[in-house]
Amino acid sequence: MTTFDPEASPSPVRDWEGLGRTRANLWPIKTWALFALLVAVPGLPVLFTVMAAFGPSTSFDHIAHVLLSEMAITSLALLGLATLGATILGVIAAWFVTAYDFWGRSSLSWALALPLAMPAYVSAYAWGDLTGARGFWIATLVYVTTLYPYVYLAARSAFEAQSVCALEAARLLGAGAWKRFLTVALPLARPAIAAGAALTGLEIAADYGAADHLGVSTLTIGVFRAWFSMGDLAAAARIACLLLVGVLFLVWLERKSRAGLVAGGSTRWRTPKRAPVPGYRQMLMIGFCFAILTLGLIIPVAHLSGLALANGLPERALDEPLLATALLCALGAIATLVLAALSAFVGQGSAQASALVRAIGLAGYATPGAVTALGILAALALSGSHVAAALSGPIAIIALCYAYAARFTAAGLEPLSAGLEKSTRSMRESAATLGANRMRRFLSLEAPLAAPSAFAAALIVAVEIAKELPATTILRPFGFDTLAVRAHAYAADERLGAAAWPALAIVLLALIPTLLFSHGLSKSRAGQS
Amino acid sequence: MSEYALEARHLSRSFGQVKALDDVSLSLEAGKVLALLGQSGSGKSTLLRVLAGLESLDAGEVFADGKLVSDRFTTIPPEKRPLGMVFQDYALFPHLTALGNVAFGLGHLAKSERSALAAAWLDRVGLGDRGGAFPHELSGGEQQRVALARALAPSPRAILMDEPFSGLDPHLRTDLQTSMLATLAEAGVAALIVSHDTEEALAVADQVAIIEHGRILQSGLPRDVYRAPKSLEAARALGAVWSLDASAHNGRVETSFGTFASPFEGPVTVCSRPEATRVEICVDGAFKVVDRRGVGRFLTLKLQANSGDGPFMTALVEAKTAPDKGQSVALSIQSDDVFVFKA
Repeated sequence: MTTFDPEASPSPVRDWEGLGRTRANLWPIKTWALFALLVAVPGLPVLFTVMAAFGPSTSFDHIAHVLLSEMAITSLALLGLATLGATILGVIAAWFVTAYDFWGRSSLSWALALPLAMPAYVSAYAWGDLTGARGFWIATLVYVTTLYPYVYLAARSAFEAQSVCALEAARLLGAGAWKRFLTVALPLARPAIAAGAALTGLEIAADYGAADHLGVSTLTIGVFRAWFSMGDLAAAARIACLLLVGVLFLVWLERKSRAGLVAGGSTRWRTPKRAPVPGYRQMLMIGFCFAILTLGLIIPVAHLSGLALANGLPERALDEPLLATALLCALGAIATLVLAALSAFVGQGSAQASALVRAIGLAGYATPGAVTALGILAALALSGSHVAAALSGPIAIIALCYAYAARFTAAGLEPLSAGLEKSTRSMRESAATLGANRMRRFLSLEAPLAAPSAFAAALIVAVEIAKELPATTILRPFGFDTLAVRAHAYAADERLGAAAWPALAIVLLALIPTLLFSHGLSKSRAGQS
Repeated sequence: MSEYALEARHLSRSFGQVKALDDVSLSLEAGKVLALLGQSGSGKSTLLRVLAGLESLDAGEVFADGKLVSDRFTTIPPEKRPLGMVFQDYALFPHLTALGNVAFGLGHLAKSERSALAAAWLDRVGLGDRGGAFPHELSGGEQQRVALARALAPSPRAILMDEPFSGLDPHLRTDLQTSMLATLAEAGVAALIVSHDTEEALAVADQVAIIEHGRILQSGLPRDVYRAPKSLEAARALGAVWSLDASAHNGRVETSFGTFASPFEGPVTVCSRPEATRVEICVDGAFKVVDRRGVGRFLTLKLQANSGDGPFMTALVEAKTAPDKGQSVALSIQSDDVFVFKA
């Protein structure tokens, strides 16, 4: 130990003399400017889409006459049916792995989330080729089997967070297993399930790749046809507005399903005892869980792998799309994380601010990628430049980064604000009283504590960007193919063997964060640290 | 250096309709310990945050070491004030070791000097060998001492402590209070300690201030406030009291246990402390023992007028001579132990 004695030589006092300068509190004004910016990023494309819808259109009358009602009905039916299917599968699987003990339960518990890594369009290539079927029903199968994990994860964490006391109280009141599930567990988990179902619905509404490949004409497909086949921005914008109305309805439905519910359960947690299951029912549960995992992930991956190996590497090398994907992932993730960090900082101000920035982020996510991209196109068109020419160079890359930031801020915000919350208010204030200014507080306290979460956020956002198809298809510079775009182009030509390579590359990439977080999540539960 | 490490003049601060601080003035003499006593919601934490510069003011001024640091227009940020703060949850930085935590506020020093000084401070709070430990590896008491060392290391003129002992076991508290006082005295740093625990405040403070509904009810030496409270609330803040309603005429108030001088006329409240209330067994006494509680040397008696109505009074008496439940007793209280307030 050192002999340095603070008494003998008092530490040189910090420079208190510089106190005299005064500074007015400008903070409120700044906060409002930041809020305006955060709203503007996802809001402007929607605004421009709506404005473009009022422009003159040559082909909309024809579309409205012939196709619009069919597209709207197909979209609605697909949305309703596939969301319902995904919700039922997700909830049952979540209940099995939380309430019962059966062979392979803990592995299945995290493996069941893995189809999250499977973009619906990749699954559509595999199932389309495997069954030779096209149309509504095969699309429903693809959506249900790839999107159920949204509901599964939400329901699982809700079931796990439920107070055992409520379930045991129900048991003491004489409720059997089914009654406990239907009258206690399910109602308590309803808000989480609704949120998961809403995410599923939003994914279906935004999907372009699977519907396009399987030949289902949804509203999103309508937007694409109006723009790419007819070059009619106004018609595309009008269909996009209809799609937006549908999305708004979905969000409203989710809000409404939560109304009147209080956070469930007591704060006394105990690990619930999972009920052991007799042999034949155990087989049933394992069979069910394994079956949906097989349909969602194993069969598509196995089939595409077989096709890829049979076909050999496609003649056009994959290094260019890989590079393009890497570039967009990096730039897009940076843009998104900057916006997410800004949101997180603004959200730290108060509970209302936090709720507001979350809502803004979610609104951006809820807006289908095709609509966001169309809004950016409309803005470019308004600026007077010729749209096709404007999309040739760096402007297109910037436009893409903007679209990614508008859509995926919510995905980055969640882990980022969790990371920032690791430095509590009293820690930050403590650092201030110890003489650290804003910059030093960030660099030596908030940043190091949030670093792992920021890394997670970057990973999640990058993978979302790599999977993204509709906005990338609309906004990419001419000849600039990402893995997703290349895969879709091959698939559209029915060259599935060639499409399988980039498609599998995307799945592998997406598996990294999915594995990381699904595994971590299934290990942590309320009451256990 | 100013005579006062910290001085607050006529501070006011509202949150919406709630007046958290209402014309609060107090001063903290250099090297002294001031305990700020109040219930939760009394405004004591707001006062602490205003003094530290974490909260702005609606009116009033704060001077730190003789310099204006807060008024209604300006709030000098906390990092520029010569003040340290110990938070209720200690707010240790989880990614830094104990040594790193203490060194955090010494950024103005060269690196070698910084860690030597931080190590010396850890030594001083008795944690010289725990410098490499991370906060989650330290016990509650150790965390508290690291927080104290961290706040004192940059040589502030005063430190502000928000309920510094609230998270600790009772038997640990006394030890830590003693060692904290020693450390503070050695460092010659003034301290403002916020507490809702009367005993704790009286044990550590040179001066006390009692705050309620955002107003300072009374401040001064603990002994003076204890002996001559200015209001019933101030009397209650420094220990148990009982009270009863009476009426004063011509500067006197008559009760069944004596006549006392009253500075007020008309309805008044007469109160005293259980430990000042003497009880004698007496067959025709005016009071009856309604309840008898406690074990050990002292018992608490609950008393009521023989008629069976009227307010309850309490007395702390020696167990050996204590009357039994139901016995009649007479009360005698010295006149300077009786406080008369306007009702």
